[in-house]
Amino acid sequence: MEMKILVCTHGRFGEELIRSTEMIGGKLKNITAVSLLEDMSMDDYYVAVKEELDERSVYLCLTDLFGGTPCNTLLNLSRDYNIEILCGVNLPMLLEASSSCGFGTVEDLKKHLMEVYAMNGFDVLEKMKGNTYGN
Amino acid sequence: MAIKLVRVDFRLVHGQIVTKWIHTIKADTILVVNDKLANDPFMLSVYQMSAPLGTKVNVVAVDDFIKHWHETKYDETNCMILIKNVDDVYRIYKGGVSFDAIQIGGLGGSASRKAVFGPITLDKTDADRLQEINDSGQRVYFHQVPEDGSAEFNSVMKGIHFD
Repeated sequence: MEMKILVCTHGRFGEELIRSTEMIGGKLKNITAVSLLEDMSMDDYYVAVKEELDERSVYLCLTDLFGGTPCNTLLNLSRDYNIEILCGVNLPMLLEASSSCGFGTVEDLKKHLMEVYAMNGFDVLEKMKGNTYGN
Repeated sequence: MAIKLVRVDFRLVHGQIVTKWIHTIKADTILVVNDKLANDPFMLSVYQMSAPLGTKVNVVAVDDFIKHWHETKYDETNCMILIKNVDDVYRIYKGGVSFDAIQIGGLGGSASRKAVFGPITLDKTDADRLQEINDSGQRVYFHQVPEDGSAEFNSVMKGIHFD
């Protein structure tokens, strides 16, 4: 089953995150952003996300905020499609996802991205001094 | 204890905005009046899980809301009411329910709708119905987020015309 990545965010954060990832890691494949814009209702957004889905693929969905409309919409669609959802999407996760997509199962990638998430927030100057705050 | 706020918001339980209002009015329950959600326990559980800490989320169908309002006025609750659109507000009004005030927080956008206050839009049907409710003595006003200003229905509608 083909794995695809869907980035679902408030505003164009996801679209720009893909552009930023491509700036560092080159052109991405099998990745799409669906942006929730100011005047869209939940129903509009539901339709927009649904248009990106098909029953033959498995999706790793990366979203920004638990409890927000993008996340809730994905939960709603998870009843009808093969969807996994991670929240807290950031650049390290997307970089890693783009280089790992196509290798292994969605389960493996999901687990790996949560490790990447946990490893990439820390106090930089403290780390340089050898202190390992939060990491 | 009673209904602290009645808000019309096309996104219903929409994270930050609802959290801000809940804290502002010090309610402990969000009561969503919506037929579709009343028949979707899965999505209700999604909203319940993502609600701010200490806040309950309940749902009731429009007709059941009207019935229960006539019985108790919801005096047993300390809640914020969320309604999705003016159609449902009007059904509730026609069902004999009378609120002190109705806050219009967001109604979405489409080609047939006109922005009347910030990003809040109305079409002619919405405007006529809200006018009728406002004229009946229930205060209708526009207010998106607590930090921004609000405006009364009549002052906003002055100078707004639908073809």
